[in-house]
Amino acid sequence: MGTDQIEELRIGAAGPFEAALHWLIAFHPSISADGAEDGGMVLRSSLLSRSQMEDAWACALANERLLAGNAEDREAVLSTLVS
Amino acid sequence: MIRLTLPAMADAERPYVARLGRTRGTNGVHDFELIDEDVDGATYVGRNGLVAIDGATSDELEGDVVIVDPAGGRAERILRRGSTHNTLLVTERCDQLCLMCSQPPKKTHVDRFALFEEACLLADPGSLIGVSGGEPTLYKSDLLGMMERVLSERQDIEFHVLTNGQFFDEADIVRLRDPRYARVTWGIPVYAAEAVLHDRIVGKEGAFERLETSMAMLARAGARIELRTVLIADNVQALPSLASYIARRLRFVEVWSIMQLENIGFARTRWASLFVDHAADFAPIGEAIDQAMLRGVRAQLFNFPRCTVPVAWRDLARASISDWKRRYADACSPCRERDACSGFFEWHPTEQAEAGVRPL
Amino acid sequence: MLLVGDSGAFALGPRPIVERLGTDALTHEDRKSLAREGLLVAEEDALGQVAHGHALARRIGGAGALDYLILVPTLRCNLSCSYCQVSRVAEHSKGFDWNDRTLTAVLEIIDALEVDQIKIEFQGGEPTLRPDLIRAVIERCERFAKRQFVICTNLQRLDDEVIALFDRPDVFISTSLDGDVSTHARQRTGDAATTDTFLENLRFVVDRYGATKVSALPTVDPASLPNMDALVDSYVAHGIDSVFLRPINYQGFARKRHAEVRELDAAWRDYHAAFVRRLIERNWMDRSRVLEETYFSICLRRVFQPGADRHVDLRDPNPVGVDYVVVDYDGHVYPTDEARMLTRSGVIDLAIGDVFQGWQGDMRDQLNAHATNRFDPTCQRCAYQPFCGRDLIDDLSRYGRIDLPRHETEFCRRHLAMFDLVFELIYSEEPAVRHSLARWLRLPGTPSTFGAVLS
Repeated sequence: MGTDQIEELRIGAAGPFEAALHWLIAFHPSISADGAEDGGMVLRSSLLSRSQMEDAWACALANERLLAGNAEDREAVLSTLVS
Repeated sequence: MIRLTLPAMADAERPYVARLGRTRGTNGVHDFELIDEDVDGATYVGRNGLVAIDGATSDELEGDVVIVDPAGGRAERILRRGSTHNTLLVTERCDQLCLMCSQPPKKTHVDRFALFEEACLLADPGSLIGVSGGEPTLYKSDLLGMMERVLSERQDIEFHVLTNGQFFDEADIVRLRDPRYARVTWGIPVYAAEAVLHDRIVGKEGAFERLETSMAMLARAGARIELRTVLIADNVQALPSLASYIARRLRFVEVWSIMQLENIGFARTRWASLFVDHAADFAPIGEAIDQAMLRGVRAQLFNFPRCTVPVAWRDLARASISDWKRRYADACSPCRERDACSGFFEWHPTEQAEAGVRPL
Repeated sequence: MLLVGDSGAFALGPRPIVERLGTDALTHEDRKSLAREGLLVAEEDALGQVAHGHALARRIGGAGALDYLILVPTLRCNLSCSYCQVSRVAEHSKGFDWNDRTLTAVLEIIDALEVDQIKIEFQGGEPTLRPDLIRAVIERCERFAKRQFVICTNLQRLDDEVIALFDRPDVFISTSLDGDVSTHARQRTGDAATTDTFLENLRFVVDRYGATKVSALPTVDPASLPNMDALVDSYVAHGIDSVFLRPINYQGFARKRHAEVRELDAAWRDYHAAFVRRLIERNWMDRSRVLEETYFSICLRRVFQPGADRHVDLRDPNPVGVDYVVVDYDGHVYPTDEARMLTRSGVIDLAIGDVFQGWQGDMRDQLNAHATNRFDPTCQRCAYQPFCGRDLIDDLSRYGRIDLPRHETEFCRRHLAMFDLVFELIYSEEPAVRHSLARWLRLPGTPSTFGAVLS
């Protein structure tokens, strides 16, 4: 991509929001996040399109929810198998 | 065609097991010695008296383990020496009614487990003994008991059991983990990736669901499984999706055998509506094999003459038809791949066999 | 968007389903389609749970008993390649071969192995300078039911003794072929006579033994990337269809002359991907042969057929010094060949012991406590986790530490790029792509799809 245009995406504050945001920025350093008046956030990037940011955010949120939900069971199963 | 049941006259009252031979070599209690032979057959003597068997020479019968049924006037060649295709028919009862059944079930059952056990203990070294029916696990505890005792006594014997997998339960898991079951392979049919089609083909509602339950238990028991799918008009187009299902949910099986139809039993009456001419369209079969192998599931073809399989998949076609029911078409004589080929079933429609072959 | 489960099950799904996953709003249809692909297992689905556990277990690498040795009987070499990774010494140097004591210790280690199969790779220097040592090791291995020996050689000198070793059916030859004649000469053999000798010897072994016994690897300079077709043509001309592209690694000598390699990593990744695409084109144009790039094929097979390749650099967990070790010319033992070269270049000492006193110890155990990606927070958020691995030595060689966040390491960047390409090709509908994938996955025919798409 790489346009001069800054794309914006508003995201809500639902779900494992903070963890998802943390990892989103870690993997996509070109994304910046600022608070919005309604308590949500606005993501901005000059490298990714709006659609790409939506994809990235959907992944980040889904990953955090799945990891949180499954963490204990996964750890138990994997530790047994790995040892 | 080799006949497995021969007319016989015997002194004794009840059925018994005998090992036939020209000499009383090992002096076992089951050994019977040849005392007379003519153009009609051979006569033997042993601890149960005399038995005169018609329709075979002493050469053919040498070393065979037979069950003599005096009242029925016959001798059944249970374990033929030098054959790799010996199978014990433990019952003719079955709870399913498969569209293509080659051994249509009967309502009666004759309990011959004790005789079979005696016979197995006399098997040649390193024998692979088949178990079939009907549905053998209708008599599960008799079956498992018999196999366990034989496997203990004979460390060299292996069993291959054909079963519809409808009767395994939790209690079997521990039992089947016994090391002796490393020498047992379960040949289990699955005809579709979903219940509606599979249940219709096997003629029993709930069969697929029950099969999945059994499979989970067999997997936990570390059982050795050969999946078997007979190819019929009803399931050929769905074969690729069955392949995906196997790769995803039944990946723990040892091998998937895709089998061409045998023209006997129900398949004979329904031949025209069931038989799939794979030589005319191999595509769904090829796709199914590729989807299975893509994910590491071993696949093989049974009862497919090699010349009828496109060369890409040809090496998967095994010489699978039992010797006693196998023949080749006349056109096969110059073929250089005859020995590796399954040939045809004895009862395969001749015109179809002759028309379909092409010597390689 | 790609959805991948711990078991390696995967499917492409539209964004709405991912959004519903993120907000715990899966519909009944969602659950059914996810379950169908093995991505979701219902509590009451006993078979699904067993299948999932089985698939997970198949993905877990780890290591069994020691059965693979990389032996360096001599550090001496009769070539002086510009990028030499092994800190070679000149051919007539003294004191750079196994002495009697070291040989004895190696043979005793072989005697003590508890397995009935063995694989030994002879590296160097140039191992064929000491055919007697190779022979001694091979003869000691007669007792193993399954044996495989690989002699990594520059093929500059083939005398009767060496040929006798090659003639053994359990011996395989691995050599370097850096591309067309001028590239190979520039990087390795120097003058025309030396180059010609190599090419004649390569042709000799391929003619005598066939291409299945001989493998060749190109070392590629990311600062001077060779023309792909010229490289492939040089392999095809020698009847070799597999190309294992390796970038110059800056350990050992390479580091001194190629300091800028670090900055060329991105160029290398692009080249690697373009190379694979070129092979796809060429395989489609000429159906009589199947060209493959070995590392891409290994990554591809990691997705579909875990356990098919025993490539020790890409497995998880990836413990070091357990099922294979490297024995140097002086008897020191290293966890990997890279570790040996790294130590030799003075960056860090990664010897885990020696053949006289063994190598079970703290260093090895410390490394192995971190030898998996399974619990790494970055890897847990990566769709490629079940297919990827962990390379502690690569991290050490580049960064001097193993605790950098994964996505900041070149190992991660390289494999992200590799698996991005793998999955792009898996979901390609082009016949040329499907044809090559099917050949690299060793399938009889070509399936109509390689991956599921959720509706």
